[in-house]
Amino acid sequence: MTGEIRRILSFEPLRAKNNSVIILALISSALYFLVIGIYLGRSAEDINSTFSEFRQIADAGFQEGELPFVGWIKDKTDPALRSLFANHSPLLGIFFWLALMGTPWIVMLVASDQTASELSRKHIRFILPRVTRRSLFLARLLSSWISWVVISSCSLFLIGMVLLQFGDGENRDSDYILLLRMIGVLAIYGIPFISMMAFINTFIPNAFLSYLLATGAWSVFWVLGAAGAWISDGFKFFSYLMPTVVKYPLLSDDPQRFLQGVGGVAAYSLVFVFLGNLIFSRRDV
Amino acid sequence: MNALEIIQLSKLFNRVAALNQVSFEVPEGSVVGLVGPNGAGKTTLFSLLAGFLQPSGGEFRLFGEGGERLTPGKGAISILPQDARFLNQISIFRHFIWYARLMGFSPPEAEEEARRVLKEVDLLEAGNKQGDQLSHGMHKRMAIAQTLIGSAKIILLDEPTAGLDPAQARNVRELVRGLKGKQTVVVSSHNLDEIADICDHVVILDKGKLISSENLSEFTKETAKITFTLAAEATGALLQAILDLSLISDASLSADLKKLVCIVDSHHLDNADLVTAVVGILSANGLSFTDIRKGSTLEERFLDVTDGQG
Repeated sequence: MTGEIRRILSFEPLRAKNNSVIILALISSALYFLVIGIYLGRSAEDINSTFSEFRQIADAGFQEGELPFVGWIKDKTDPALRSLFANHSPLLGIFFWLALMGTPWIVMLVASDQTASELSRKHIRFILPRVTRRSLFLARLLSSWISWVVISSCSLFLIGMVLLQFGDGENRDSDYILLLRMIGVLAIYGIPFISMMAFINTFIPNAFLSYLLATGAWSVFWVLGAAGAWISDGFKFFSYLMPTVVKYPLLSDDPQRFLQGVGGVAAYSLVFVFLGNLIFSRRDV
Repeated sequence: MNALEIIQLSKLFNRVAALNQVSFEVPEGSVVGLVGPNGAGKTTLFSLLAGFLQPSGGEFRLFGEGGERLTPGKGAISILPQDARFLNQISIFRHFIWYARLMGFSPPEAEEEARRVLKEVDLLEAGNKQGDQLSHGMHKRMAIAQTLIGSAKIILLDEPTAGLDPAQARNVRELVRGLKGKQTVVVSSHNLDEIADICDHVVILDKGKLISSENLSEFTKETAKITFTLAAEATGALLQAILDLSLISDASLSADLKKLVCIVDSHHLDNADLVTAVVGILSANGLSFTDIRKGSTLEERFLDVTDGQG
């Protein structure tokens, strides 16, 4: 099977280069990171001074009466995010956070055409007599992940390097490590979403509709989870239907919590891959 | 040895049987014609064999091995699907290299194989065209060409000449004839003359059921029936004289009295003796014939067994 997957992957650069959905996704993701980078670069001075105060407050143990933004971070956010802002370069910290927030939207677009157009054009009928369905399914999953890793790594690295020039330059080594961590975390965080798109593609043979379903389901679950929580804690269950719940653990400086996040990524991914492969190996094409 | 054994294969769509417990065998190296009216289940059968559809029941075996589900990818089977399209903006040559790679060819071998099959269908130069630049006929020929990659043991061709001009259709028939004995080919077509021309075995499906699976000459009763087209109308006396021949089990005249159909007695299958005897009686009655034909046409037999729905 490994050989088959390798041979399927050998065609992927050519397929990706000529697939408008994949091109659109790659451009969108590059643009998203670029826009954040430009915004942060322009606001670097303000952000640095605000966070300088934030750090002092954080060091003093988050006393009452701080800046409104600091108050929001203190009261409303996850401890992982507070730790990120308090212990790292503010520009990179915000970049990391925003990149992670936008990842689901982008990565689902990047992965929206794994088998969809093959199924709708029935080109899959030229391929299936030559490879197993499982190999095709896994190869396309891997191909989407590689695309995501390439585009996110390059974007994060280039923009991160530029942002570092706007920082105070106090802990440059730590900044580089954070940048590498960002690249790694985004690569990992994309996996469950790519798996989810692989699963959706198996029953919706259209890239755009698959993306709409995924983002629609996400929005619905988010609203039910967040708004429903006002009514009853039971509604929080909906938040756990999407892999977004692992983002704060993945941001965490605490290794144990980080590993919990990685475990969550593995669990969501395995469920989607299992279901996707189950359907794909049995469905009529 | 049988290249393909189909055992009680069924496929239901929304509880309606598109294929209903079909069983037949395909001898190795033969060219088999799969015929049937629209909706008979021909494309469904091909799709099951190629692994596009999952069977609702039954199984099939390739060269004695296999089971309920096909394990593809080893060059056992290749197919010309009816409605598959190549990817846009990628040359057919690149597609073919990739298909060959998927079958285990190394990159240089894959390129050579792609060139070989394009040359075989006389489309080497057109190989640089992209999926969306092909005319219908060109697309069909390219789709046929991809079945030749890797010399699969069994090739399934679903209506290979549909939509082709006469010259292209003839080339395809020549190609299939050239495969006889080397690879096993199953061809579906509505063109019964074409099936009669290139196949040595015929399988007839109707409403998802197997109607017949026979050697073509047996199916058309080539050795059991002779039809004489007469130059003038025959008489009842002539018919009786022929019926009196011991070689004949039955004989009849057409409504216009100009076609004499003789059914050979199963104990006397020597057509030459029969023809000599009948010609002798005709000449004794002052009649000559303009044509003589052994057996029925495939079309006649097909219409017989499908109640004229072809």
